[in-house]
Amino acid sequence: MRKDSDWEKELKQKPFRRSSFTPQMMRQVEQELEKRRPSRTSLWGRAAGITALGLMLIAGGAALERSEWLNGLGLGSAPFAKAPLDVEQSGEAGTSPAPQKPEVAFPLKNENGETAGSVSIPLSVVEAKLAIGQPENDSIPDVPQMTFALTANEAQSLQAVLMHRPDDGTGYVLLVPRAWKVQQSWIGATGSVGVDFVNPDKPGDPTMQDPGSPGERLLYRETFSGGDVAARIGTYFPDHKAWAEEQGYGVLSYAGVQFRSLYVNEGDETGFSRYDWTQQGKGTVVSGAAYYSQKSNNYTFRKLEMSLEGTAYTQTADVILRFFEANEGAQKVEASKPKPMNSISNSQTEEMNP
Amino acid sequence: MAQDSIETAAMNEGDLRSIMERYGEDVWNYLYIMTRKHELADDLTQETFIRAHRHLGSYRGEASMKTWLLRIARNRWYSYRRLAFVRKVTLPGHLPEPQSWESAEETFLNDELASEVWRIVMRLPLKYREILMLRAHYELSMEELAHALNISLSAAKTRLQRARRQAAELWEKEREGRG
Repeated sequence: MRKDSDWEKELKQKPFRRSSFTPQMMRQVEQELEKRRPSRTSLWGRAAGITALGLMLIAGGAALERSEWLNGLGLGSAPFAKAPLDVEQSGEAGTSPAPQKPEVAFPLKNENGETAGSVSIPLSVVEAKLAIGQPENDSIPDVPQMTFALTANEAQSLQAVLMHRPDDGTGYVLLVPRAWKVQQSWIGATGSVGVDFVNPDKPGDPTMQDPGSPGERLLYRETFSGGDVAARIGTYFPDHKAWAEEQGYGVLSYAGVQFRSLYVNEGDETGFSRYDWTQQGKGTVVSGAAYYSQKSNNYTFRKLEMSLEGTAYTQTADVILRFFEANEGAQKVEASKPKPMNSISNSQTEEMNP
Repeated sequence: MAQDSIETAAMNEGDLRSIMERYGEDVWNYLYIMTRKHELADDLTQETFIRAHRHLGSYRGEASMKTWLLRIARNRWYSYRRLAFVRKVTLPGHLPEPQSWESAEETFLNDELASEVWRIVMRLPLKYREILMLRAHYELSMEELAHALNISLSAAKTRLQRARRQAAELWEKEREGRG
C-alpha cells in the first residue's frame, strides 16, 4: 500500500477556512437540553396521569367517544403521521346523532370590523412525532381564549388545528382550510417544528417528482438552528440578504416573488413579511408569511406557506396568514398543569394514548 | 489522550460548552463532508452534542473524545438517511425546491474550501470521502477506523486503498487539466 502521498498530506489541514459551528448553534444545543430537562412536577404529573389512564381503560370510560374522534387520525407506528385527519361533520338523518366535534370560539366581527358575539369553528388535534426523545407529557393543553376576530364567512371556510407536542406538552394552534387534511407533523432533533396539510381534492403529485404539480398545500415551519434562521432571514427579508451572506449562509432567490407588508422592529430584532410567488401563466401559486426573532431568548424563524391552484382559497389564505401575523407564527399554547388523579378528564388524556 | 480524560468527568453546562468549543468544528466539518448540505450539517451537529450530553455515562475513554463524538455524528447521519428515505417515498412534499439550493452549496464550497485537494475529496463517493477524511484528517488508526465504520480491519484497509486510488486518479486528472 502506498504511504501518504503529497496530496493526502494536504488533508491534514482543515477543509474549510472558517468554522461553521457558531456560538449561536452552541446556544441552541444548550437551550434544547434545558427544554428537555424534566421538572419534578412533570415527572409526578406523568406518573399520576399514567395511573389514572390505566384505571379509566380498565373501567371502559368514554372509549367509544374516543374511538370516534380518533378514527380519522390513524396515527400508527410510522415515523410520521400519515393518515388524513377527517373532520367531516354530523351523521345521516334518522341515525343516532354523531358525537359533537370539539370547537373553538373566535370573536365575531362584521364586514365593518366591529366585533360582537362569537363564532365557532371545528377544532382538531394532531400529535407531533418526535424525531428523537420520548414523550414526556401526554396531556392535551387547553386552547386559550381566542382574540383574533373572524367574519361569519371566514369562519365557514376554516378549521382550527391544535398540534400537540408530546415532549413538553405545549401546542400550536393554526388556522387551516376546513376541508384540508394533515399529512405529517413533527418535532425535529433540534426542536424544529413542522406540520403539512393538503387539499384532498388537489393533492398534486404525491411523489413530488413533478414540480409542476405540487397540489394545494399548507406548510408551517419553525426553526431555531442558527444557520437555518440566518439563511431564511436573508431569503425572506431582502434588505437582510447581504447580512446573511456575510454570515456565510446560502440565501435563496425565488424569481417572481413579491414581498409586501414587510416590516422589522427598531433594532431589527424581529421582522415580519408577507409574500406572493407568481409563475408565468399561473398567477399566484404561493402565498406565505414569515416571521423572525433574533432576541437572545427567542432566536427563531417561522414560516407559513400555502401553495394554491386558482383563486378558490385566496380569501381563506389571507385570513390564515393574518392569524399568523397576529401571533407572530402559530399561536403557542402552554402545557396543561398536571391534574390530580381524580379530576383528569376522559376527553383529554385518553385521546392521544396510542 | 491525557487531555480527553479531563472530559470524562460529569458533563455539566460548562463542560458541554468547552467540549463543543473544542470539537464542534471537527464534528461539523465531518458532517458537512458526509452530507454536503450546510443546514443538514448544522442540525446533525447540534443533534450530536445533544446525544453526547445524554450518553456521556457510556463513554469509557477507550477511544478519544473526538473519535467518540465522530461515531455519534456518524450514527446520526445514517439515522437521518434512513428516515429521509421513508419521508421521500411515503409522504408528499410541498413546494419544489428551487435550483438555487444547490447553487447555495456550490457558493459555500467555492468560498470556503481551503484547498483543491478537499474539492477532490468532495467529489468522491460517500464511503471513500468518509474513510479518507477519518484517516488522513482525523488520523484515526486502522483499528479505530474499522471500529468507527463497523467493518473488519481488512475491509477497512481495502476501502482505504480504493479511496486513495480514486482520489489520486482525480487529482492527476485535475493537474493534467490545469497543465
